[in-house]
Amino acid sequence: MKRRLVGFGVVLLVCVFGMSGFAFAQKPYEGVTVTVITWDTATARAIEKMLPEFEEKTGMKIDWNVFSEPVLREKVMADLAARTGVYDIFLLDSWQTARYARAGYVIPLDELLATKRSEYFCEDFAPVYLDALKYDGKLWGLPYYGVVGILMYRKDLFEERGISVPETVDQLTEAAAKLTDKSKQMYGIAMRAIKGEDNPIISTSWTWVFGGEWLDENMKPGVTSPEFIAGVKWFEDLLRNYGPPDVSRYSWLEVQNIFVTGHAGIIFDASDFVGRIEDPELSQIVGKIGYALAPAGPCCPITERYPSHLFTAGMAINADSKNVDGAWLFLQWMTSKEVQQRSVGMGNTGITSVSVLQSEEFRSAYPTAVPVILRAMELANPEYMPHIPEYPELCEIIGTQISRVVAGEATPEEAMKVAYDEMYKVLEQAGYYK
Amino acid sequence: MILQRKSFLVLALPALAVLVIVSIYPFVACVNNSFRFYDLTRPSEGKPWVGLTNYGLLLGDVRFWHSIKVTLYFVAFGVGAQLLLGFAMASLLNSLERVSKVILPVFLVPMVIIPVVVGLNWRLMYDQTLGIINYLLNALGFPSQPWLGSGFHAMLSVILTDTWEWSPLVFLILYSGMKALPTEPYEAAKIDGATGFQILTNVTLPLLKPVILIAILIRTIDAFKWFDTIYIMTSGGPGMATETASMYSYLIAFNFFNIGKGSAFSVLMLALVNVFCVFYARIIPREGGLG
Repeated sequence: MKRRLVGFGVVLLVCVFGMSGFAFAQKPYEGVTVTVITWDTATARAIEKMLPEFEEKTGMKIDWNVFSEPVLREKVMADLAARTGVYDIFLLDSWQTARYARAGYVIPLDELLATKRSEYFCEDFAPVYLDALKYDGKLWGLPYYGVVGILMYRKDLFEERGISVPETVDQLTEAAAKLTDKSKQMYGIAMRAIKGEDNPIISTSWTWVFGGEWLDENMKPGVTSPEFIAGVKWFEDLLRNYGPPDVSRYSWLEVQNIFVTGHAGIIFDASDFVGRIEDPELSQIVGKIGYALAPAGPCCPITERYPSHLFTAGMAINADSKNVDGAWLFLQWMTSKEVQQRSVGMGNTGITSVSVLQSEEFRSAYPTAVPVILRAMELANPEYMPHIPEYPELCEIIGTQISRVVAGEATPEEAMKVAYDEMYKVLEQAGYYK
Repeated sequence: MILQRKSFLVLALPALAVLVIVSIYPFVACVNNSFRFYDLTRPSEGKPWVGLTNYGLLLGDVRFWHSIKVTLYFVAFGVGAQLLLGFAMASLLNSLERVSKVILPVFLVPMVIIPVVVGLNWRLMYDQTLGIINYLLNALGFPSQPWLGSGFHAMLSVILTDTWEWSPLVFLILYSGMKALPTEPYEAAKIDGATGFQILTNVTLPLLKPVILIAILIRTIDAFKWFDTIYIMTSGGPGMATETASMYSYLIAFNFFNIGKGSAFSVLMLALVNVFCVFYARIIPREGGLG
């Protein structure tokens, strides 16, 4: 009888200790699934490879979804508008921030930042990228991917013909002229001029350094000002004279292709081009590329106005998410310094952490480009595009009209008049002129 | 008689249910939305009734009318070219008895490729500097063309790609029609000593009229709605040269997220397509016959 009691006691003790051990081993987010949707890019693929570690550590299950930009926009909006909370975390780019935030579809992160900051949180996001995701005084996403505008050029051709890096827009025009030989299909410069919302990030970087603004102090369209039109004229002339003949259909892909196949001497586009144009499998000009800051416009030095081409993609938390805590933790991990550092070797060139940008690994991967990118980030100013909910409509109007000018369908004055009228209508219907 | 049997209802119910869910309910919802202010980026304003405001905004929009004009060009020239090419393909295969089984699937390939893939490939081929079409032209001694770089050329290129992609459908419809034709009129015509051209115009075409009508209807309705390849190849550019109604309505509904206006646009498109269908049905008699 006694032996049985002792045996029973031993078993009981073992069970108790065993159970408590089991309780210790249970992970904090066991049973929680967080659904993420983002663009299908090298960065996303890099992070996908690292997901198992996060899942192992926290017990959380990550449902990872990647789509192209237009498909993502539709899926996210369908989820947000129906308030179904399917995607806990979604990609929120700087263009959409204002209107999604106003609509109440996104959770502001300020309180979470103040009270629930985890070890993962990246303390040194580049200020320009953070600002792009702010609206109405609050932060709506953490910067996941960011780019600025830089000049990329054929340094071998520059040396050959004795061209120095242009520091003003006039010098840029001269350099492009010297590099152009249309009979040999060699074009001095290529930039985006495709119809629609894709070109203003480029074209209005230039109108800005000419002194032009999208909107004046009274929120009236500023596109008919002499400065803005001068900028459009310069853009049109430059591309018409020294750009590829069908440049009015050029998106970033065409700009990249014409450069890496050796048909363009200079391009101005996003800093994340560097990963692709230095890839020997993609580019025929590896080792011949120089990087420089974009030149100054006639209005001011680049320290005051730099052709910024600023774009930030952030990751945000759905207002109807049922796993806000889990989502917030993952969000911090996904944009953490460690993840960004590891993704450098896996093709991510849209790094948003300043220390990772300055790290040995990133610098040695792109030694000539990194100092230029860092300086461009300091100079870039998001003010050149208004951070308002009506941004997408205004962007589409300006982009289409500028594209029409480059295509020769209209003069700058005619096209900007049309842009003025359409922008006015949008802003009026949105209630800015009451 | 058949409608009175209960089993008819039971058997038809699943199909009716699908029709209601997939077709009728969305259509009613669309018409309803077209009379309301419904902006997905302004959920707090709800969906208030605004009557004909959305319609008024569209009908007063120059860009709307421009997109209708571009669409009409696209449909007219596109369907026309597809009809000619499809008929040529069908006639060719009709006269090649033995190899028809091998050639038929080859003819159908363009139409089964995913439109986005078609668009991407043609976009690369049309590139003025790097594309293969200009490369081949140059090799033959012709100058490079701005296939997607000028307004006129872009329309041409977009119609060309559409013709490449959908002539096989017209071919299929006409070919099956031809295969089902009676042989007696042809024998009679040969006995009467008719030339090939006379046989074509007096025997084949009249007999094929109902089939041709079907092909035109199907292609016209599709061409009015067509989006994928144009979006990929030109985004509606250069300038606004290839911005069809489907592209502009996509912008309104899925870029600016103005569902009310987008729905009104769809209803207007429906009305336009209906006008065309009625027009076709009137001028081409339903019964094919020999006059």
